[in-house]
Amino acid sequence: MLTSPRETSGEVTRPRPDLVRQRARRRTLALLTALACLLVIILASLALGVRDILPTEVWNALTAPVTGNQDHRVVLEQRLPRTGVGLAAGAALGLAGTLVQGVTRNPIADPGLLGLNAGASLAVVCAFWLLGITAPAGYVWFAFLGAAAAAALVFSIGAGQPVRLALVGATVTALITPLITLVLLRDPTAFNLYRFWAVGSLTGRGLDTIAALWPFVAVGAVLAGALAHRLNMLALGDDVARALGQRVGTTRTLAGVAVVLLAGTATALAGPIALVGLAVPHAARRLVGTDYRWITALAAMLGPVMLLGADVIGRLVLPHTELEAGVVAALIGAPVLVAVARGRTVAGV
Amino acid sequence: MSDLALRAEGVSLGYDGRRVIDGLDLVIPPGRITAIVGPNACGKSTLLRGLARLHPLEAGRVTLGEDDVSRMPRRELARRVGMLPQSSIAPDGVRVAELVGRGRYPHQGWFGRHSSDDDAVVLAALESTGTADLADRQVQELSGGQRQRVWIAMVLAQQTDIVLLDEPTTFLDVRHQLDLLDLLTELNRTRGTTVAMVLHELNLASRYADNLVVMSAGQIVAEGAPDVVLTQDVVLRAFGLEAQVVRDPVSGSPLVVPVGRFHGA
Repeated sequence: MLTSPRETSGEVTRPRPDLVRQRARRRTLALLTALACLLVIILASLALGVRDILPTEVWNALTAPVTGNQDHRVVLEQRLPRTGVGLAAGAALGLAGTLVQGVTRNPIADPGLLGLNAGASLAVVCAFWLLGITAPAGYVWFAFLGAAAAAALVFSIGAGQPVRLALVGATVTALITPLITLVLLRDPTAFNLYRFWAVGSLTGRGLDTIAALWPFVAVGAVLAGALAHRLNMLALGDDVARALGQRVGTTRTLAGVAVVLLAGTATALAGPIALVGLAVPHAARRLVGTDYRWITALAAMLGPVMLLGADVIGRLVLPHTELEAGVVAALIGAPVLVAVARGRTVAGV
Repeated sequence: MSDLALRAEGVSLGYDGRRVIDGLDLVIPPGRITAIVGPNACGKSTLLRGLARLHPLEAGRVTLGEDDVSRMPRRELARRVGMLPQSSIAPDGVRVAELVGRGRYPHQGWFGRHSSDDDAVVLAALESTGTADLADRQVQELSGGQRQRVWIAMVLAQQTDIVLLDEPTTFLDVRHQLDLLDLLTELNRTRGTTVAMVLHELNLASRYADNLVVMSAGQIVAEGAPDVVLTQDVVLRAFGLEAQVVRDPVSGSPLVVPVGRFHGA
């Protein structure tokens, strides 16, 4: 049996190269399709909304804006920024969800599991309540710092052990949530502001906010890409990953940093959006299999497809008004998750 | 084939302050098959994990030739010593060839690009474990015996001179246990791979090992050729078990026949 591969070209076909190629083609196809969907949704996000604007006017607004033109103003000051927010936050959530699931080997993990959303929410509420900050450009930083602080706390206590991490994350969330309620009960103004932030929305953030925050997403995305192959080893168990020469602690720490950068920014930009970070990695896994290098690449595209898609749908479903992206994302995400759960390859984490 | 011995020198290991092994010395002779046996919780798995640097040493050191294993970069260690732990997880949907390919990790760069060299090594690992026909199957569809072969193929793809295995025959029926140990023997004979494994089944260990290490309560009770080591007295001391030791009619190695309360004298 111990023969070199050359000598054994007998009656049985060895690893079927045609099947391998076919799978590789399917992965590439999935990636290209996702990219195409993303481009279509970006265009839709710029062109569609409560206000009817002709595609030619959208083009003019982007290439040769006329000051005073109301259509151009809507495109540049509203649709362009919210498209940017959707792209950045969506990609960030998709990647963060992938990293969290990969690092914890927990199929129901999402960034919220690490207490990120709770931390961000508490910080934002405090900004409303104590400092009277109401502009997104002001409170995004609180959201970001709150998310980072909560994640740092969770990681430092739960370090290394997936189960402990999930428990500590749940505990921190459970601890923070009543604090938020406490503040909101006492301060109706904060409550009103919080309602609109917490539902998850892409509107009201200017290009300046995006300009300030996108580098965090970029760094997080690069880290996620670099960690993807390490997650493949980690998926085999900590011991196997170590035996294969991986420094598991380093992988977890770097992934933690990336998750804070990504999910912290996403929460800061768009509010605590549920289900995108949870559903996107599962959908990606369903489409391209168990290799995290492919899952990560696809999740970076499916995230914005889902979030921005939700936003565009939210603009169109109700006459003369909008439904927040967070609401629509949840309404879309739930069936996606159910579909994945009913399929053959659930949660190959 | 390597002629470097993996060596534990005054090694102490434990869990949360509870010492399981205290100042133990052991040599894994190169090019041989070593089996570590002993009663449950005697520290044999912990010792193996310590040798593979999966468990931190509280004292002492593990060396490979002249090198201190704990100072070696993990990646370099993984190119020289392979280890199949008990706690391995095959992710849902992962295919055999893909899983075996992950054994190439210590030889690859950050993003793990597969070279044609990698492909050849993976193919050879599949061939030599008799799993090439399964290459396109999902690991979770396989039987226990097939799955264990696939994991061994992954360790082989790592191309190390030393392979450590933590109870590789657990959950396998007797035929598959034999198949697996035959496979390891074949690797050892044809490539000179050093094999060291923790085994539960005394008589299989006795038959397949060149070097038998019998442990009890964190200590080595006896070590050496099974012929010499496996005596009535050693079995009694290590396992607290009355037994007769006879000759295995097939292999000629010592065969432990336990007495128990209801049979024999």
